[in-house]
Amino acid sequence: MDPIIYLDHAATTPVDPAVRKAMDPWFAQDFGNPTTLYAHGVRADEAVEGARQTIAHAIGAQRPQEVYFTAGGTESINWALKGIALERVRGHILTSAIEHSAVRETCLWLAERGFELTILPVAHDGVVDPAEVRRALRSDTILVTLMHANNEIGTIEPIEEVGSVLTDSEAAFHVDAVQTVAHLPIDVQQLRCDLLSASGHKLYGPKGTGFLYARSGIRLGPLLHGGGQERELRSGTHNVPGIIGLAKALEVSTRLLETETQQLTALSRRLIDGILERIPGATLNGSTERRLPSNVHFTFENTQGEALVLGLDLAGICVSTGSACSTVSLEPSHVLKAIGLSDEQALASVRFTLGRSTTEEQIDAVLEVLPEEVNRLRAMSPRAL
Amino acid sequence: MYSDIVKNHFANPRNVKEIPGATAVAEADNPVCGDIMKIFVNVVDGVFCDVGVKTRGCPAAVAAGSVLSEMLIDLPVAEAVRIETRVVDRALGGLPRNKQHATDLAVDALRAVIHQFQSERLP
Repeated sequence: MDPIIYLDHAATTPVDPAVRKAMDPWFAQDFGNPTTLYAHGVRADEAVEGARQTIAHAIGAQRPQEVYFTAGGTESINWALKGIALERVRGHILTSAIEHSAVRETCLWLAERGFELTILPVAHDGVVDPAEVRRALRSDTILVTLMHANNEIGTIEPIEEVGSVLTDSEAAFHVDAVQTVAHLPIDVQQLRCDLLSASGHKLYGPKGTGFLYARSGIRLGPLLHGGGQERELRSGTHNVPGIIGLAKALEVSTRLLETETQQLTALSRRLIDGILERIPGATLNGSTERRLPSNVHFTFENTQGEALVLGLDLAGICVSTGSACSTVSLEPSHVLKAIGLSDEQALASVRFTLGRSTTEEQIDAVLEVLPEEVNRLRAMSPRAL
Repeated sequence: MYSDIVKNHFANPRNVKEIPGATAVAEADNPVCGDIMKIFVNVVDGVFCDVGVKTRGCPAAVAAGSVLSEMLIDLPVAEAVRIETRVVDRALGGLPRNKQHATDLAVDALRAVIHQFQSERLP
């Protein structure tokens, strides 16, 4: 058995061996700049365009030109939100209370610059109500931005329904699909979104890669100015090996999607049931029906999340407290607060995200160690359960 | 992120216990991160002869309580009042900057228990 049990796939995933292999020639062998005119560069350009087609096909885009390569989810999101807002100069932006900080902070930044912001509440299971979106929509709403699935609690949002609500609106609809591309079937026509952000390293691709889908005809300004790559909208020399790796990763994941979904659903069920059976004072957060198959998120009353993370780490198990990005912060997660958890409950929560290499044996090993660690921390606590 | 000393104290915290009939008991908390620490002390002839600590908090807080309990045993109360956060921090081999609140919690709990002990002795 692998000495490390890695259950933090929502934070990042290992690069798939097939992806690494596909990337390899583009580092030192076919290293040409795709914008150059000689054959060496043209080869790289053709490879980049092939990758664009693969991705466009995988997400149901009508044209490959609707896919733009970026350096990751955060860039895609920043570009989508600022690119829409700054082109329109003023207006109203609609988002939810449980967005990833890349969306949240960008929206707050735009609000500081004169855009009006509505942050919609979510239900206890983390679901955004499309009727609330309809109610909050205004004639001057320029942008609606929601996540496809939440990175902490795994709740899958009713994006199609929100897309329907927005059919007659002028507002651009951006979907943060960083947690779902390659993990759920994605069809931008079905989702009825205008923009969709994705990240390579969440789908067994390389870090520092991502893409933004932008529907043809959407008015979107550039975030990065410079040499005019990506049809003047995203300057910067193409990360050719990264782009090739990203497309390959999506191709592999799309092929494995169905079997992987079944496996992950069974494994996460095993973990959830095992925890509920063995650990008193444990509450599953998020939705039971609308949930990413890989996500298990619990509050363990009268414990502390970071202490559980370190305790499990000392036993070779990698898990996370809420969002990977907020582990440096002491504040309880805004997502957990938004679904109604107290500070104390939010700080006593742990996320397990399963992945391609997760096995039943690993889940069973976690179910041996975790109750002991929870008990150990509770025995140290001055409070009774 | 954490020193080996912190990891060691977190994995094997010293003096985790309640002391029934302790000379003084006090609790401190950090309202921002929700950590709580309760200290039990027995004092004989002005010296801490037994110390128990219970903590619910991050690994740094658990380690701070643990290392503080080791420092206190056999220490005169008059000397313990001089323990500052940097002393606890040094004993832990240095905490990451965003974890300084853990030593604050331990020192707050210490001051509270000393205060409790001193006020009990007042007529």
